[in-house]
Order: sequence, then structure tokens, then C-alpha cells
Amino acid sequence: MLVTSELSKSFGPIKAVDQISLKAEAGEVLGVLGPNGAGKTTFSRLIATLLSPTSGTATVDGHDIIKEAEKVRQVIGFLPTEPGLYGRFTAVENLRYFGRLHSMDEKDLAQRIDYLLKKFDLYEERDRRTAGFSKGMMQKVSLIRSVLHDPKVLLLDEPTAGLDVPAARVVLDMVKEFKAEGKCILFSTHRMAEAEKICDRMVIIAKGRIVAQGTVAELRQQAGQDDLEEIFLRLVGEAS
Amino acid sequence: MKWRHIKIIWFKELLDTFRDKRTLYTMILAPIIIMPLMMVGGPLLMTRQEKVAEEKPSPIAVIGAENAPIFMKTLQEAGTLQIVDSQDPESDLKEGLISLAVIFPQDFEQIIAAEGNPADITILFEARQQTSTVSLQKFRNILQSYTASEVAGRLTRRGIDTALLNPVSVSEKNVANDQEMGGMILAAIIPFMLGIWAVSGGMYTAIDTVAGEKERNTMEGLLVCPPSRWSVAIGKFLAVFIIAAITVTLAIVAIILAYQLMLPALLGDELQIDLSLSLGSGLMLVLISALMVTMISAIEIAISAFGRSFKEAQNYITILTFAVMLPGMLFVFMPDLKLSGAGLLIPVFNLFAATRDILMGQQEILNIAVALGSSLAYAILAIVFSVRVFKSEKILFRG
Repeated sequence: MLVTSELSKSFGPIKAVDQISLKAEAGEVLGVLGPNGAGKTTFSRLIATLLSPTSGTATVDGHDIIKEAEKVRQVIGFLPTEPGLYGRFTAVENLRYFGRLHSMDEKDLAQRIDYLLKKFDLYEERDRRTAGFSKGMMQKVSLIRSVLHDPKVLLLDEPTAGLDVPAARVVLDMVKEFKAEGKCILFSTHRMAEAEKICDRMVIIAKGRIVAQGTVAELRQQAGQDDLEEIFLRLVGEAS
Repeated sequence: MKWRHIKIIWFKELLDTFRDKRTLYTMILAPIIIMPLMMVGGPLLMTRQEKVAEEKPSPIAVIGAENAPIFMKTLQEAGTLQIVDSQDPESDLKEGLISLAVIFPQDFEQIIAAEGNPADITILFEARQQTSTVSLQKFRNILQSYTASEVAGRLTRRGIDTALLNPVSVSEKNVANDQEMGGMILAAIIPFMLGIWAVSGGMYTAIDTVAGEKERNTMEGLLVCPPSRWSVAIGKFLAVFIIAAITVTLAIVAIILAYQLMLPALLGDELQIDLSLSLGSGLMLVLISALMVTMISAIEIAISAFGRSFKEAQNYITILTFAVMLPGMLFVFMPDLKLSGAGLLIPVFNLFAATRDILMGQQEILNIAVALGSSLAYAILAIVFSVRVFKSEKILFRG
């Protein structure tokens, strides 16, 4: 569903993403782990066609991110680190805008919005302007926005950053639902414990490169150690 | 670039702008209330004050009045000045107790009667006080009629016809008709108005929809949607264009109405001025405004994309405001400024000059065509440039 081949991005002399090749399948949550500044955000921005790669490429549902950027944008859902909603618009208006930008049929869009708002407990708040929302509520709306058009691939950039424990829990539950629907999910985070809970496989990146990958069990086996955090720290430490 | 996408973005940005309270100020309050009040209210207050000073007899002190009984009679008959006593005219003048002091020499009447050397009188006035300068003028008028009647008396006594004094009789006629006079007033104010509101009208929308969107982290979410950067940039540009165009229209209509209402009070009844525009001039003005607003809105989008934050973009656009306002001001103070040759290619400037020429009825078709044609090219360039900036990942994602 998602294939990157030697995907690279440099900003001047800095290699933010350095020859990353990976694959992720439908119904799979692939964790992208790394400390802050490892290149996680740049990596997801490349796939989201927000940035163009310096070399290498990727395909999303068979569409090339360079040659078919618009088609790629049609099949991906993207959750930026910050929720980023329009404060002078209500929850429904925010969602409607993005649905229209994805050329959704008005009737389908209205039904889909209602369905998702009800499902994630925001229906009562639908006509409130989002400027007054809590960070957790904003993140929920933002997540709903990213799956509104039923994308095949979901790119989540630190979806629980800045959320309190209950809100983070809700977001993780939502991600599980999307996985159950068969979406291919790229889940970037710097929290080991969270990744362990939700990811089927992980790639650990540091300084723009993949330093390890596999299931949690495989990573433990490779490192000969049980404590994931230790493994993470050692791998990241070796890279720098 | 898809029209459907552009329209979705365009309408969303318009709605967002209308919900922003700042819009109320920049679009409605400032151009149609505050600006006309400033432009018309100031001069109106000044003329009113002048009128009051002219109509009300101001107090003046006459030292040695008993030396000039005939002159005093003329002074009292005129009735425009009120004679009061003053012990220390200079300090009374400074304190504003009197508006003028006139000193007659002791032998004033005898010198006049001798019909030889002129009689010296001294007038003290205070140049900083408007009532004093008005009184000075009034006193000069009285002095002139006194002198005229004295001269007439002297000539008559010598058997000479007073008509001898006036070899020329003048009648003046203004060949500019009422509408042309109105055109002159419009030519002074409209370029300035057009410039200032083309910049300020769409300013907040431009900043909010690009730099503001970057600052609030909504830009990424927007750009991962299917619409191309072209569509996003054009949609935002159109929103800025519409807001600026509405503001310019409201501002110009408001200022013309304000002048129309206030001109009789400003100029008095004898000067007739007609501020109406011919259909042709009106249409040309709409065309010029559209070009100006297009050019400036596109540049504002580019500047806003360049700014890292709302504040930074606002600072850049303030510089743009001055860059556009200065040439506009130039036409207020130098109404005869004429562009020619390469000057007709200077952006913004050439549109102001074209506006001025059209309103004055002095347009030369070739000059207007060059100004409008080059401006159209600039407007297109500005749009292309703003899209370029929008497509640059360095600029859009620099933090």
C-alpha cells in the first residue's frame, strides 16, 4: 500500500531523510520511532507531497508521490503534529470544508460527518466554534478530518503529543478502529510504550536513517534485551 | 488548477474574513466613517472657525483715536471691528484680549489735511492668532475705503475726474465648468484613496489566510488536500481581491458623498462645483481600480507567504502601504504632475497618473493605454509571483 524507495530529503547540507526504504500494508500500523529531529516529520511530509524529495521516491496505493501528487493527496489522510483547525469555524464547518476539498458528494459528506462525530462523541459540540475547544477535542476533530474521505493510507505525526492521558487514550482507540477498517497507518512517535501498544511493526530512525526495524519481538531478539526503551536509547545513541 | 477547488477555497476565506471582527473595522468603519471625517471634517472645522472670526466683530484697541475723528467714523460705520480700551496693547494682544492695536500719531488729521507727506500709522498684530490676522485684513479693507474716499476728495477739489484712477476695468470668467472643477477635486483625492484602500482593504485577509494560517498550523492540513498550490493560491488571492475591491468601492463612494455634502459649507455658495462622473470616466476608474487591486492583492499574498508569522507579514505590508501611499500623496500636492515616456511604465504611479488625467479630462489615449497595458502585465506577473512563492517549500515551511 505504501512503498518508499531510498527516499531522501536534504535541506542544504543537512540530510533530514536519508535513503529510507520501507513498506507498509493495508490493515497494518507501522510505527516510525525516533527522537525529536530524527526526520519523522520530514518523512511524513514527503509522503504527503508537502515536500518534494531530493532523491528516491515513494508510491501510495500505486501512485507516485512526484508524478501523481494530486492522486496521492486524494488517497491519504494526514494528521499534522498540531491539530490546526479554523477557530472561527464550527466543528462541522471545518470538516465540511475538507470534505469538499476532497470532492466528496454533499449528501455523503453530511452523513459521514454525522457518523464520525457521533462515533467519537463530538456530536453535541458540532455547531460550536473550534476556537473554544480543548486540545483533546481539537485533536479528535483533526483525526476525524484526516479520515473523512476514507483514505487508504493514514499518516499520523505524533498524534498524542501534548494530550493528557485520557485524551491520548481516546486517540489511540480511534487509531485502532481505523486499523480495523483496513487502513494502512504510519504512526510516528517518540514514545516507546505507546508504539509498543499500537504498532504491528516499527522502524527506528535517527539522523534521517533507519537504524532498526521489525516487530517488537524481533527488535527485542536482535538487541538481546527486553526493555524497549533501552533498545531505543542504545540504537539512537549509536547513530549519533 | 481546478475552478471547483478555487471556488471552495475562495468562499471559505471570504466567510472566515467576514467572521473576523477586524474586518468590520478595515472594511466598513475606517473607509466610510473615519476617513471621510478626517478628510472633510478637518477643513470644515477650519472654515467654520474662519467664518466665525469674520462675522463676529473682534475687539481692537485704537490708540490716539481722538487724533483721527474722520477715520474713526469710517471705522465705526463699517461695523466689522469692535473698539475697546487698552492700557498696554502689546501685552493685551499677546493675551488675546484684543485682536489688533492701531496707533494714530497726534497730528494725523493735520498731515492728511496738508495733502503732502503720508501720515504714519502703526498696526500691532499677533501672527499666531487667527482672529488677529482676520482683524488685520478687515482693518486694511477699512483703511482702503478711507484712502479711496480721501483721494477722491482731493481730486474732486482739483477738478479732476476720479475715473482717471481706474484705467482698466476687469471682468474675470472661469472657463472650467462646474463638472471640470469637480474633476479637479476628485483628481486630487481619488488616487490617494485608491492607493491607501487597495492596500489596507485586503491586508488582514491576506495576512490571515497565509501567514496566519502558517502560524496557526492549518496550512499543512490544507496543502495535503487534493487542490494544487495554484488553486490554493488563486482561491486566497480572489478572497483578498474581493475584500479589497469592496473596500475601495465603499471608500471612494463615501468620500465623494462626503465632499458632495460638505462642499457648499467649505466653499460658500458662489462657487458651484459638480462632483458627478461621466459614465466613461466612471468605467475607466473601475478598470483602473481593478488593475490596482489585482496587483496589490497578489503582492500581499506573496508577502504574507513570505512572513513567518502574522506579525512579520504585517510589518512587511506596512512598508507596502507607504510605498503606495507616497505616490498617491504626490498627486495631492502636485496636481500638475505629468508622466511621460518611461514614466508611464512605473507601476502604481502610472495608474495614479491615468486616474488623474481621466478625472481632469486631459487623457491622451496612448498614455492611458500604455499605463493600463503595463499594469495588466504587472498584475499578471504579481499573480504568477505569488503562486511561485506559494509553491516554494523553503518559504512555506520555514519556521
